[in-house]
Amino acid sequence: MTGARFGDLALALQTRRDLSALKTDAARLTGELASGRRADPARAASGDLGPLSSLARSLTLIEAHAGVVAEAAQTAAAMQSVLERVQGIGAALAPALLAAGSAGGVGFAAAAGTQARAALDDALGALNTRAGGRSVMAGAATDGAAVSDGATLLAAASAAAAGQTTAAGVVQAVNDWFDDPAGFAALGYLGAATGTAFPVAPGRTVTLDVTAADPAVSGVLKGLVSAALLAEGALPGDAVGQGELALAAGTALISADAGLAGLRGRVGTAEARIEAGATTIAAERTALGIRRAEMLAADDFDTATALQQVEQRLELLFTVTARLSRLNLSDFL
Amino acid sequence: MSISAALSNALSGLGAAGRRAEVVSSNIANAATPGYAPRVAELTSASIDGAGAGVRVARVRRDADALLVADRRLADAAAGAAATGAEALVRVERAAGAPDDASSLVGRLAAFEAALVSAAANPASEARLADVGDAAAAVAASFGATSDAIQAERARADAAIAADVETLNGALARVSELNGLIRRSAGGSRDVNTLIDQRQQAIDAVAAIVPIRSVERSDGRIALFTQGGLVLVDSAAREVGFTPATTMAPAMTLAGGALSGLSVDGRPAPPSALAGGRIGAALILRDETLPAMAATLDRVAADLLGRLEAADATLPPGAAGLLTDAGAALDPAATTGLAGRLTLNAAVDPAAGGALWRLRDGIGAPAPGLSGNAAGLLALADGLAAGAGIGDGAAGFVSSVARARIAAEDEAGFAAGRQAALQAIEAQGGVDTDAELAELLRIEQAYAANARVISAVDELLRQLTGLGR
Repeated sequence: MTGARFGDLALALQTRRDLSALKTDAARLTGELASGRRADPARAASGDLGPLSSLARSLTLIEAHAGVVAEAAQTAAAMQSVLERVQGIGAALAPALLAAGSAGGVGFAAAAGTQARAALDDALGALNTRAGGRSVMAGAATDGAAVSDGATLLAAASAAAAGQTTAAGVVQAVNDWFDDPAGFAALGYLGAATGTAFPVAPGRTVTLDVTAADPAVSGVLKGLVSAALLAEGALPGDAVGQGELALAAGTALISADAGLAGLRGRVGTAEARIEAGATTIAAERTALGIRRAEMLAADDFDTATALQQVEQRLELLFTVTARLSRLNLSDFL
Repeated sequence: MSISAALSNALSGLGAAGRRAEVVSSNIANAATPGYAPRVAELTSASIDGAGAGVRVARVRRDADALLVADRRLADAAAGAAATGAEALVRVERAAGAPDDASSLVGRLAAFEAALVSAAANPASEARLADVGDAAAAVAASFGATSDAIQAERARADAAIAADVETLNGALARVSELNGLIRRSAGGSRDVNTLIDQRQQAIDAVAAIVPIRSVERSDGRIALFTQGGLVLVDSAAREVGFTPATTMAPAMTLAGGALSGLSVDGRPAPPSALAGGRIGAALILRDETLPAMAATLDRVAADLLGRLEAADATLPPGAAGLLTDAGAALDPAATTGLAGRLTLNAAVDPAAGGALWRLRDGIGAPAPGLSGNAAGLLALADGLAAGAGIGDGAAGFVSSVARARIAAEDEAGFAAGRQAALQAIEAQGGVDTDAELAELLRIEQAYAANARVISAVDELLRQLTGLGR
């Protein structure tokens, strides 16, 4: 009898197994279609998740670097604008000083001195610019001002120039005070000697080390302070000397202009490197996105086709099951 | 006397038909009973003193294929074993997370590196430093969660062994008890087939836990052996012993004596004694696969701690870095369970009385430094990315888990397929109601024919008695 038998449970078992396999397939395919993502990326990669991990890490890091690049660009732009303003202040004041110097009158020099005093405050204000919560010209000491105020600077410079009776002597004393490590560097510049570093790309940093202590910046300040001393009553009663001082300060401002232009060039170079970083990041982000899609994305067409196949097989299975369940001998007896 | 012989022949035919109908009805009633093998009534011609005396049912045979059942049982054991491993590894893999998921182990490490990069761009920002602290704490939590998941699976395997051992002992005792009943009944004329069905079910319960071979003794008893040759039931049932652990920790091992092995009748048994089934698979998980994974994870954690310590120039020798081994520095000689002990250094955690500026200036820095100094943060980021990178270490761990899971799943799929095929063949040999109904038709015919004979004999006798009138 064994050979002629086909147990009732065999068919039920087989149907149940086929049904659960088809439903599992359908659920997986529906999930893939809905999310557009492979159900089991680890299996697709034969268990080697190294490439996917490093890709995910790169994508996370590239976003962080993109933020850094934006911030570095913003800081460099702020630096550029500060230098431009300082340069503009010097360039605007120089002709007035030269004119006052050539006119040679007491009143002219004093008026130019007052103008220079205001210009000094403007320049110092510009150097203390904060952008994005950081003091841009203070190097690594980003939380404080870059330079002290005009009064402090002038008081120190006046003290240094006290006793000088010639315009050349005053200018020399002011220059010496600026170049003395115990002078401007200690009392005027409040920032740090080191710059700030921006990790613009993996393994690549751009350092923005232009500060208010740079000789090009202090070159302008030297001219401004020398001229502002006129308003503080330098070389009292010596109209010729005051004229010479105005002339010397104006000349100093003009010669400082070139240095400042050079400094802006340095910032420009850094900006270019930052921009290059931004381009790299944009390109890499796209490439990583494509590779990620290759690794993770399920092919919609393939999935839909497979799903349709599963659907058809399920319908067939239901039909056959219904037919077979009607086929039993007891119904015919 | 030949007419009365004809009558008794026909009567024996009616009896046999009734008996066969009983067998058919029993088969149909049990069509959906698991472990029920169809009964077949075997007919033989009866004889008295060498002369034919009708028909009788010689015996009711249980129609089962012993070899097929034995194969199916081995497949049951293999399928149970493979499923145990696959399920545990799926859960461990889920705890570690998919690498492209931000909340996975790999994702957390990448987020930590990204937080360092972002903070380096503006080291004065308390918010970004706090982000770095949070990201580091999240990395520690992720290592902890993965480590906990591994230990939870070990605990689950341990508990599963205990539960299986209990089921096993119950089933073995039942087999032994049924053995006794069958042996006592076999001599008599009682139908032992129902007892055999029950014993079959009890043996199936054993087979799901341990792969077994059975040997039928001449008196109807069955002896059960494991594939390793250990006797489970012969004249009596053996008692398998196992003491479940109440807690589970990375340092608890079988070799260390903190975890229980198996014993048989009170004597320690090697793990190989019950290998191949669910218990064997759970033992391998608990004592080999999962501890190896935990060790890999601990190595990655030690690498992370080492990198963070090396990258912080302000640390005095022997001091803990940004992440600590429960507050202490990395001890390369005691990394077991390290992944579960990672904590954020209290010196950088404002909630624990620390200060955020130490993230920027170094754990060992005496006072806050320049607010824009990114060197320390960049050194940490470089330290994590140096060489193969900490991300690769974590990816290696996740890959090893994924590979083990895929292999286990494939094996489980294969074992389940083999089990299904054998179950299908076994089910084909089960009760077929159509065949039983066809048999019932033949029985009806036989009954009608025998009844016809009786009515013909009756007619003959009637004619015989009518002669006297």
